[in-house]
Amino acid sequence: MTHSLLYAPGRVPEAAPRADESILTALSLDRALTIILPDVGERRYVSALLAAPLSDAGDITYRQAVMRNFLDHPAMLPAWQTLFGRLLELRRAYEEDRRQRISATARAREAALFGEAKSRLQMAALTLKRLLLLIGEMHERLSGYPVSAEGLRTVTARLADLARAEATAELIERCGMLTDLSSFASYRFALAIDADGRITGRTYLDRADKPTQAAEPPRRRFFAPRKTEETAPRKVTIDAAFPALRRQLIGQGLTEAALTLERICSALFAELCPLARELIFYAAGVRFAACFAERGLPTALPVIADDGTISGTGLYDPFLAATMLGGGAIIPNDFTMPGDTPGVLVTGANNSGKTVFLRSVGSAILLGQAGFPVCAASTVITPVRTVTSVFAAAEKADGVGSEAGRFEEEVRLLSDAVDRAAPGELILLNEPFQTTAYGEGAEGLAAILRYLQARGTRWVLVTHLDALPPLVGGALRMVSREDHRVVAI
Amino acid sequence: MSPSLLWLDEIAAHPAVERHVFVDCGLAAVLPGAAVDVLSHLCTHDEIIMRQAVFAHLRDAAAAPRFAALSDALDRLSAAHHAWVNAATAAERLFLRAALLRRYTEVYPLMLALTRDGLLTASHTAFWPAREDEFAALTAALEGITASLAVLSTSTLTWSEKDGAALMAPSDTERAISVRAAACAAALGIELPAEKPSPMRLDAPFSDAILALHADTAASLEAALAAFDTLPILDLLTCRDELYFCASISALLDRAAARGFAVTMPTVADAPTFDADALCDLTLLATDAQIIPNDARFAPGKRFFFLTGANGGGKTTYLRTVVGNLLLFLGGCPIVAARASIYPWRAVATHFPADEQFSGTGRFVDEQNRSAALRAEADRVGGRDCFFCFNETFSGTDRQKGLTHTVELAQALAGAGVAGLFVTHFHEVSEAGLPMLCTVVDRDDENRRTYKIVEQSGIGSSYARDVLRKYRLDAASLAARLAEKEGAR
Repeated sequence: MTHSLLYAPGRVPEAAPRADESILTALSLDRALTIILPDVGERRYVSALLAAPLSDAGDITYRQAVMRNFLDHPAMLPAWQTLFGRLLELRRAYEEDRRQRISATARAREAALFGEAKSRLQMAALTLKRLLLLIGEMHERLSGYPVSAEGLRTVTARLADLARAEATAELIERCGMLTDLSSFASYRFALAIDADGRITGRTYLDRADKPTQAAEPPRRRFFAPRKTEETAPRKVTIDAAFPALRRQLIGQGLTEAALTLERICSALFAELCPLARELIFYAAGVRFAACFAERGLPTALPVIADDGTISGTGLYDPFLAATMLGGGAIIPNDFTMPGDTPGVLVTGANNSGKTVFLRSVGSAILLGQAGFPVCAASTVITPVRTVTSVFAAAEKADGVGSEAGRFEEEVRLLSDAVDRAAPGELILLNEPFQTTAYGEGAEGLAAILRYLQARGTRWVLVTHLDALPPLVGGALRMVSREDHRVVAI
Repeated sequence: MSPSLLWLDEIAAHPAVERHVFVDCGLAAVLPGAAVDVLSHLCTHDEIIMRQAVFAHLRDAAAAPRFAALSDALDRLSAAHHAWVNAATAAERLFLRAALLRRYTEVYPLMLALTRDGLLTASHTAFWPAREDEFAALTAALEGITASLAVLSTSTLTWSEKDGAALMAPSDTERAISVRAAACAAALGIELPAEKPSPMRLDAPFSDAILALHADTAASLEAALAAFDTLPILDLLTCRDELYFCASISALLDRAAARGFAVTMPTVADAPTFDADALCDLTLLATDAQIIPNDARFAPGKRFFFLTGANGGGKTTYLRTVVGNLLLFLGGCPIVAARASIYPWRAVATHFPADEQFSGTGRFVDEQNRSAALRAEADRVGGRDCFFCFNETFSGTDRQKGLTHTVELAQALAGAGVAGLFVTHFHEVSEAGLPMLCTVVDRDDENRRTYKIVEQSGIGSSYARDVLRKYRLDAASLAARLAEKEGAR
C-alpha cells in the first residue's frame, strides 16, 4: 500500500525525480536553501523536489493543500515529525538488530542455530508489537488535529484502520506471547514431506492451541490399514541422533515464523516510513516561510491558472532576502506574462537588478510549481512542463577563460537548450551573447527566440542588447519600473 | 540387446576414431563430449542406414515435437532416477521410487506411440508393445501408492528439553504461527510474499521415526513398489542418451540451415568415394565468420590429393570441412552439403602437428612415427577402407627433407589405396604425380577476401596477383590510378 504526502494517489512516480539541479544554481536557490536548511541531507532531498517542479495543476494543489494545513496549524507539523521520527527510530533499531542477527545466524555453528532462531523470533515479535502500539498512538494523537488536505486525510484514515483492526489486536496478543518464547517448555511443528521425500514444511505451531485428539476419524486411504486399536494416534520417540536434525528443523521452523513477522514489520515500515521523509519537504516549506516572515517579507502559495498567465506582485529574490537581516533593503517587483505572450524581454542599465529580477520570477515559478511557498505577496502561475535556464558564463562564479571560449561554451549551452526545447516549457535566458558584437548577438538571439516561439516554448530574457526588441517583432508592451524596461512580446 | 536408436551391434565391435581427430577437425569444439564419444565409433553400412532413418524422423516437422516431448519426459525420468539412486534413507527411497514410477508412466505412452507409428528402430518395435500389461498394472497401482505417500508425508513434531523429540500424526486443530500472522496481515491489507521453503533431506533417525509411526502403511507401500522392480528404466535412460546425441547433431545442422546452408542425407557409396557439392565447415557455424562452401571429389581415380595455397587461404578449413562432414556421415548423421555420396570408410585419421603430440623426441621424429603408424594402419585395415588427412606434416624440418618425406608418404598411402588429403605449403609437390587442390580467390566475391578450393595442376602465383589486383596494386590497376591522378589534375 502506498501513501504519499507529495503525490496524489496514482501519481507517485516509480523512481525518485531526477532533475537537473543547475536551475537551482542559476537562480541562486541553492544558496538560499543553504541558509534556510543547514542539514545537508534534508537540503538535497528538498532541492531534488524543487528542481523537478510539477506540471499538473492537480498535483500542485495536492501539495499546496498539505503545505497550507501545516502553515495554518503550527503545532501539527512537529507532532507529525515527532511520531514519524519515532517510527524511523524503531525501524533503524529493527534493521540494525536484524542485520546483526542474520549475520550471526550465518556465522553460528549448528549448535547455536536453534538459539539464534528463537532469539530472532522473539525480536521480530517484540518489534511488531511495538510497531503496532506506536501506530495506535499515532492514530490517537494525530486524529486530534483538523486536517483538510487529501494527503493528510488519507494517512490519518489508514492509521485509524490499522489501529482499530481486530487483526492488529490479535497480532499484538500473539507477539506478546512470543516475546516470552524462552520460557516455553516444548515446541510443536507441523511437518510436510514433498513427493521427492524432502521436508518442505516445518511450521511452528501456536502454543495456544493445545494438541487434542483428532476431531474426526482418519480418512480411509488405499494402503492404510483398517481402523484398529493400533491405528489410533500414537507417538514415536525419535532416537538420540535426533539433536542434529533438531537444530536444523526446529531452527528453521522458528525462523520461518520469525520471517513472517519480520515481513509484516517490513511491509508496515515500507508503507509508513517514506512519509517521514516527505515531511522534510513540508518542514522546509514552513521554515522557508518563517525565515522571510522574520524579515517582514510575505510569502504566498500561488493561484494555479490554466490560461497561460504567469504573474506576481511584490516578487523578490529568495537568496537576496535570505542574506539580509532585515527586509527593508529589498525592492519588490511585479511581473506579468499574459497567457497569449510567448516571452518577456527585460532590458535596463548595468547593475540595475535585471538578473535579480529574473531570479525572482524564475524562483517563483519553480517554487510555486513544487507546491512550495513563493517569495511574493501574490502570484498566479499557469504550470509549465519544465523550467530551464541559460545564464551567461560571466554570471558564473567559475566562469574563466578567453572571450572566444566563453562564447563557444555559451553557444553550446544555448544549442543544447534549443535542442531540448519543447512546447509548454519555459526557458530563462540571462544576458546571452555578452561577449560578441551587439549586432551579431541580437541577430542570433532573435533567430533563437523566433525558433522557441515556433516550438511553443515560452521564455523570459534579460539582455543588454537594445537592438533586440525590434528584431523579435510582434506587439510590444513597454513597462518601466526602477530603471528596468520590461517588454512583453 | 536392449533396444537402441543407434547400434545394431555391441559398441566395442566398432572401429574407433582417435579423440584428437575430432579436435583436429573442430567437431570437439561444437559438439558435446557425449556426442563425440558416439561418433568416435564408426557405423557399419546398415547402422548408417538405420541412423539416417532416425534422423529423418527427428528432423521431420510433424514428428519433431513428439521427439521433443519424449526427450523432456526422459530428462525428468533421468532426474528422478538419479535422485532415487542417491536416496539416503529408507523413507526417502520410498518417496523417490514412487516419483520414478510416476515419471515412467509419463514416458511409456510416448515411447509406445512412436514405436507404433514406426518412428523408432526395429529393436524398439520389438520391445515396447510387449510391456503394455505391465504399464496398465502400474497405472492402477499408482493411485494407492499416492494415497499411502500422503499418509507418510504429514506429521507433527514435538520437542522439549525434558522429553526430547517425538513424532505424532498431524493435528487438524492446530494452526501455524506463520499462517495466523499472514491471515492477520491480509486483514490489514498487507500482502506477504509466498513462502517457498528450501527442502531438507530426511536423516536416518527421522526416516525411521516416520516409518515406525506409519508402519503398516509403509510396509504396504514397499510391497506395492517392489512389484515394479523390473521396469525397463535403464533402457529408457539409454534411449535418452541416444536422443541427446541425435539432438546435439540436429542442433548443429539447424545452425547451418539457419544460415542458409543446405543439409543433406548422403547416399552410401559402394566404392571408396567422397563426392559432395557445397560442403561447409561445421566449426565456423559457431562463429559469425563467413563460410565458403566447397566441393569434394575423392574418387578411386583421384583418391588422395595435395592441397597447397597461401596462408589464410582456407586450406585447413577445407581439411576440417572434409573430415568433419565425413565423421558425421560415418556416424549416420546428415551433413552440411547440397548433395553427397560417401563411402563408409573403416578408418579415419588426421595428423596435425601439435606441440602436445611431441614425445620428447622432437617434432620431426614424432611426425615420422605418426606417419609410420598410419601406414601400418592402412596395411592392417586395407588402404581402400582408410581416409587419412595431413595438415602441414613435415613442415617443421628443412625444405628439402620436408618435401621428400611429404611426397614419399603421400605416394605410399595413395599407392596403398588410401583416400585423403595432404595440406602442405611445398608447391613442388605438384611434380609428385598426385592430384592437386589449390586455394584461389573467389571471383564471385568482390568485397571480401574469400577463397575457393579448386582442382588445379599447379599453384603458380594466382593468389599473389589476385591480392594485388584487389588492392589496386597490380600493374594494370597502378596504371589506371596514375591516369586518374593525371585526369584530376
